Amino acid sequence: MIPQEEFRKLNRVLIWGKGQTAEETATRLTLLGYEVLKINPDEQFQLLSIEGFAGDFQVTLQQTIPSLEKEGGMEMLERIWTEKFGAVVFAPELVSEGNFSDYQVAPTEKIITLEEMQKVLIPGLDEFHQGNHSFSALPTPASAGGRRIFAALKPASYVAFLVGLTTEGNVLDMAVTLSAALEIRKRFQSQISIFCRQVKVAGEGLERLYQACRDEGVLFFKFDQEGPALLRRGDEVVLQFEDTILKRPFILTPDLLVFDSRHLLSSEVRQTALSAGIGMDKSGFLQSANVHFLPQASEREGIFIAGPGKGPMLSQLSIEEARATALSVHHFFQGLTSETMNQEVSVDKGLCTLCLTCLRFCPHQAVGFTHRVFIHPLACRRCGICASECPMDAIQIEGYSDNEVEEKLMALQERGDKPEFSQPRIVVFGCQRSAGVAWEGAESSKLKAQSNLEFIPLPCAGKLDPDHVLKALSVGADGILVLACPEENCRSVHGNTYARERIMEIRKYMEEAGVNPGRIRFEHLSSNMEWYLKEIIKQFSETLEELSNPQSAIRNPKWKNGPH
Amino acid sequence: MIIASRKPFAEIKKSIELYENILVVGCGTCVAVCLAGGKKEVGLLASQLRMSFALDKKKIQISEETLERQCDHEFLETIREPLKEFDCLLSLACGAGVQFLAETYPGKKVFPGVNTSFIGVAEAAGLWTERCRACGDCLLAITGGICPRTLCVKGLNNGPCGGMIDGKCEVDPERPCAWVSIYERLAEEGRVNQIEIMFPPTDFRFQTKPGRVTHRAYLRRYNAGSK
Ligand code: SF4
Ligand code: SF4
Ligand code: SF4
Ligand code: SF4
Repeated sequence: MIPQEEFRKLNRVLIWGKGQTAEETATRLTLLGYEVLKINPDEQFQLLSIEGFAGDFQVTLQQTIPSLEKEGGMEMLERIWTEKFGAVVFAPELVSEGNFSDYQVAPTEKIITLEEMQKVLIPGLDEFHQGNHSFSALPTPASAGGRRIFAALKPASYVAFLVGLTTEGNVLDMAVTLSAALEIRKRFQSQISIFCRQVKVAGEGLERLYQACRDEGVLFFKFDQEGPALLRRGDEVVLQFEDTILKRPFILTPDLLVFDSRHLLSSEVRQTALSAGIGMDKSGFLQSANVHFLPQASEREGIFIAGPGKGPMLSQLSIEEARATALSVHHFFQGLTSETMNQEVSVDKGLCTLCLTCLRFCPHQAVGFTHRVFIHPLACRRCGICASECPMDAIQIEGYSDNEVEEKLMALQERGDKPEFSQPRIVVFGCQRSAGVAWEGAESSKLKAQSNLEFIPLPCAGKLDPDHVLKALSVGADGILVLACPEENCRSVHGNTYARERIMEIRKYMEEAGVNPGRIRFEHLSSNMEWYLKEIIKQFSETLEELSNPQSAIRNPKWKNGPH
Repeated sequence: MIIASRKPFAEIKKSIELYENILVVGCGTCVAVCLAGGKKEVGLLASQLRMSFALDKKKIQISEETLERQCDHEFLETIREPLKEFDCLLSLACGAGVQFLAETYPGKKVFPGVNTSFIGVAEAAGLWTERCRACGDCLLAITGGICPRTLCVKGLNNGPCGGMIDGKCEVDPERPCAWVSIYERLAEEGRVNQIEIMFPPTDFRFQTKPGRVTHRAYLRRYNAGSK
């Protein structure tokens, strides 16, 4: 525990991003009285690392500027510096690129991306983003590409849009598609088809836009898993598909085929996220798929994520995100008081041997070291992963300390010596957030009264300590049940998977000692699954009764510590 | 740092099963850092032994203790009094620690619980690799900070040997040839000419066993080497 005077709470916020969300967050935070620095992640600026802890981050930035013209190119001036911030907001925009490889076609006169179409049709993208989903097309587009597109849009031409074939479609692309379709239909009287898996209209005004398209005679085709096949026949683009509703094959040859782009985080942002320990979801967008982090939190206290970096979103939503983020940051700063500081996790300096295992495994980057290891009370989320990894048992968490666990085990042992004890004795280690709630629930009230069951709460399944499990077995528990939150739903990211992996290890220990590894069971459980908890315990008791291994032989009441 | 790993459980158990009052003694330094013999490992091993002996219906008492280091007298002395009630000590320290414990307590049966592996570094969480064979005549100054006596499978003082293929070692094509690494490093640092220095065969006088180092200043001040 670092003494309180070592904490700093810097009133400065770094906003790492650009576009609406970044700007709005910056404005709001400035109004709330924070000193804000907003930096665009691009070729010129890179965020190299975020060291330190909530309230007192050291952010290392790099700026590369072309300076003198030299033989063979520009000389690059490089500046690397470190600044201090109390909080960091990631608010990057996505970059879009043509999806040609995904669609397995080459760009031709007749195949363009939605982005290109948008550029030609909407000179004022901002206005579009402000929620004005009507286009104001340039009378004669300035660019060659624009003229080419306009040439294809001669009256009565046929235009097809393909949205969400290779990626999960998104509401932003749908908004652009619908607006473009409507505009082209109105201006050029083109025939228009939109192919998509689903019309995503969860955004203000989109339902209306969709209806307007239908009223104007835009056709919508829903495709199945496969989607339409894209073929080239001479100059023509051929779309071949079977309509899922009409159950009829179609072959179409549009004059212009428009398809959606891939939206990605830029490589700079990815790199930064990786180095800062901020996770991404399966689609490669910011913020790990973890409900506990919603809406704007991340693995690390004091680092927030806002806006389209989390996936394409309409501008209204990104503005709302910005406002909410500014408030979260504000709340976070207001919350940084000595009362809220976590005093419950402590490192015994005498025991700690500075092996750095805790630092390597903390999912929230809450461990630091100088000439000793410390756990930052603002950054720590009290999961206890460090405590169960520490080879010296130097870390203790109030309420879950080794002593407290051992006391409970001893109590079980004492109860176990009574003759009426016939049912298998089960020690249940369960995450306080899920299993703990289920255990306290009314459904399980009978379980709680059963003296052969001992529930040992864990702050997170990641606190499961192999040492405690073996101690439980060695004082005569017949079985061990470990309950963790459902997969990908651990507040401390890896706690549940660490628990599961430790169990494999524990099984080996058990086998070596001659104890049937079937005596330990692992389950994912959420807080509303009381009935399942009852069921598991019933099943497990039956399993334990069937196991031939006379675990009762272990009931050795003389368990004592060493001479110290 | 000294790297060790736990001995197979069956071997440990067999070595101590004749005794009744056993103290598992951990070491809180090197072996704790490499997760082989610290307080946590002591607890795990002790619990395993308790269970295993209980299942064998043997009345064997297992207790736990972890010292700061087992290679220093002062720390070993701290358990002199309580040690009287134990007939067997199972040390999870490195070989040096086990021996010093045995030496300090003549008459106690002392057994090792880990295999001492090498002097190495933590490459990543849970991964340790060897870097030094403690040859007593360090040549790193010439080899660009890379030890051929350790990293070359054959421990060649001059290399690479004829078996090097594409910069890899012929013994294990996954591994870079130590001498190629040395060459590259020296080249990078602009001192590649050093590769031409021929080393005479390793002088094993520097490795006479048992090794002995006396600190000069301490020899003068405290007569340290005289013992
Ligand atoms: S309790 Fe969890 S969050 Fe806190 S330092 Fe330990 S591992 Fe990190
Ligand atoms: S894991 Fe334990 S012994 Fe290792 S540095 Fe952390 S507190 Fe210290
Ligand atoms: S006894 Fe061995 S393992 Fe322990 S501190 Fe000394 S050298 Fe390291
Ligand atoms: S030459 Fe190699 S083995 Fe010898 S002391 Fe140096 S690093 Fe260790």
